[in-house]
Amino acid sequence: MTATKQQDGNKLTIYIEGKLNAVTSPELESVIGDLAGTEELIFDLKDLIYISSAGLRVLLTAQKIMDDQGRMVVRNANKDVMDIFKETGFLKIFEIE
Amino acid sequence: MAEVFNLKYQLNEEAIVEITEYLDDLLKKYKIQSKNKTVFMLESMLLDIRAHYIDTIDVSVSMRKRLGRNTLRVTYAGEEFNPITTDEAGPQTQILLANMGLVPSWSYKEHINEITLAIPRNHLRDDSYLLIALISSVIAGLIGPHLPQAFTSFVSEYILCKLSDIFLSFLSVFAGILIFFSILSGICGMESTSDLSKKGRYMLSRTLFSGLLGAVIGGTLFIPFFRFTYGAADVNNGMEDIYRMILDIIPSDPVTPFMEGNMLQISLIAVILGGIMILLDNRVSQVRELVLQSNTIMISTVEFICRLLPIYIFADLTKLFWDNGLDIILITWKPLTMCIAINLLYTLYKLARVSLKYKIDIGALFKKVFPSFIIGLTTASSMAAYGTSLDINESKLGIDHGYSAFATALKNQLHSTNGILSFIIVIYFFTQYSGTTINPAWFVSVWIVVFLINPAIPPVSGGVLVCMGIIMDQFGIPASCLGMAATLIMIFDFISTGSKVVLVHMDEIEEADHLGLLNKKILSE
Repeated sequence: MTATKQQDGNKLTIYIEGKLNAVTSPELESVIGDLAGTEELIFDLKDLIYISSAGLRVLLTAQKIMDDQGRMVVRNANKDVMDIFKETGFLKIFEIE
Repeated sequence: MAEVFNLKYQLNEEAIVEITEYLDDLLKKYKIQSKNKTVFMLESMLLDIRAHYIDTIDVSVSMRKRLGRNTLRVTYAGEEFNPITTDEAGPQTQILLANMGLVPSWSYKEHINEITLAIPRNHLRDDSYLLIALISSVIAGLIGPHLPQAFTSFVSEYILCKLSDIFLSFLSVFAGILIFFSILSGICGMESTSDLSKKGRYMLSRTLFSGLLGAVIGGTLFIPFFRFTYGAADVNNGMEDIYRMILDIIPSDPVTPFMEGNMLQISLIAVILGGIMILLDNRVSQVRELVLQSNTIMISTVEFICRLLPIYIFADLTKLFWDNGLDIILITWKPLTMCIAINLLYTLYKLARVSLKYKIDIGALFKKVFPSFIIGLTTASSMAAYGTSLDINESKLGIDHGYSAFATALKNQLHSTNGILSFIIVIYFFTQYSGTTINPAWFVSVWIVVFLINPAIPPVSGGVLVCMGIIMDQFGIPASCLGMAATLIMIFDFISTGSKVVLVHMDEIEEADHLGLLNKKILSE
């Protein structure tokens, strides 16, 4: 899994590629880092193949932070990832584009 | 009880990945439908256990099978820790527990924590239950004549009738409200009244024009198949009843349409209110939100009610066969064959047209819409198939959600080409059967009346009977034929509703494409 970030003022976009599981999630957490001052957080999942509970936990933690200070969007998830969001109930929690 | 596997690990992130990947492969091999849910729940609990114990901890993950049921077991020694209570569970575990319908249990004995999770058995697909109900009712229909009549009368009156009525009552309660919020939510998604006007006019004109064209062409082509008696037409001057029924679209108050389930009036109220809401724009943003959420509630409610569908199908069809016998098929084989043929041909034509236009395999295209088709076919109710139709439109056909909500509700009411053709076949057959005298102008009045009356038919099973009596009287068909005609039109209703559901899907694909509201990538998947 590789995660790259792109900062544009108070808007942060993180591109995730590969598989997000228990081993790779800590890496994503370190890339996300401190979200202080971020008003808009976007996760671009175009190249994300798979996400596990561990990955959902990282996104959920980010969502809870952004609920207090701005907005978080998850975009470009493929069909498999969308099915996972739907099956686990996370479709109702994230703002999906 | 047979042990399927038993894995022992020192718990860390790599171990969690290995365990879950092993389980994922195994459940995939066993074709377990709840594979994803099970793997996600297990991983989530293991993550919480890992986070709780600062030092490394040994876990054992095993799976056992007893009487066809697989059970996962996770054991870990140490202090008491329950990862599935509200206080201790991680945030993602709480969400999974709330949404996935899995119920793990925990116990602590002799310093060993144990979690067990029964993996849900595979269940049949929803349409499999419908087919089972259909086949069962045909078998019951064949057995019925050989059972004591007192028994069949009792069962028919006190059990089958009641079961059928319960389902229809539930559906009727919510059908009108669902149509209302569905059309309103679809309109709310439009940008302006001119957008509403553009989409509405396009959809309505296409739908109604195809109905009229179908009535004229089909009505003309069917004539050679019947032997009519020509002379001075025995036509009742009861056109006033029909005109009153059609022009009754304007409601006299806002409550009666919902109480009576008058779908045309409900649709009109929804369209007017929707147009006003677009004009008021941001001033009614909270009402718009309420409408969208109400629509979600109504769809979920009707979907929940439709879990009773297999019971209704069995009860209703068995009663139909017991009351009328399967002999009716021998008398009415010609109109029955024509109805099946015309619906089949028209549906195949539309499927082929979309298949060629968008380069999709016709079998794959039909497979996408099969779930709503089978509901329509076995219930004669496009309303019963409504929730499934919306889901298919969005997730399998790529039709914009807002347009689907707006158009499906209206088209289910107004789309009537195959229903019109079925009605014409019934009228022609019974005119021939009863020897009623007609003249050439009679045919034109048949086409026009059937075209106009079809949108007024409630989109629920038995709705067509409401209009049958008026039409029979109008065209001078004797009352003695009414029972047989009603049975035939009821059977046709099943066939034409199944066909209609597919035709509406195909129409909406082309309309959405024309309006720039079609995701062709989803359609071609």
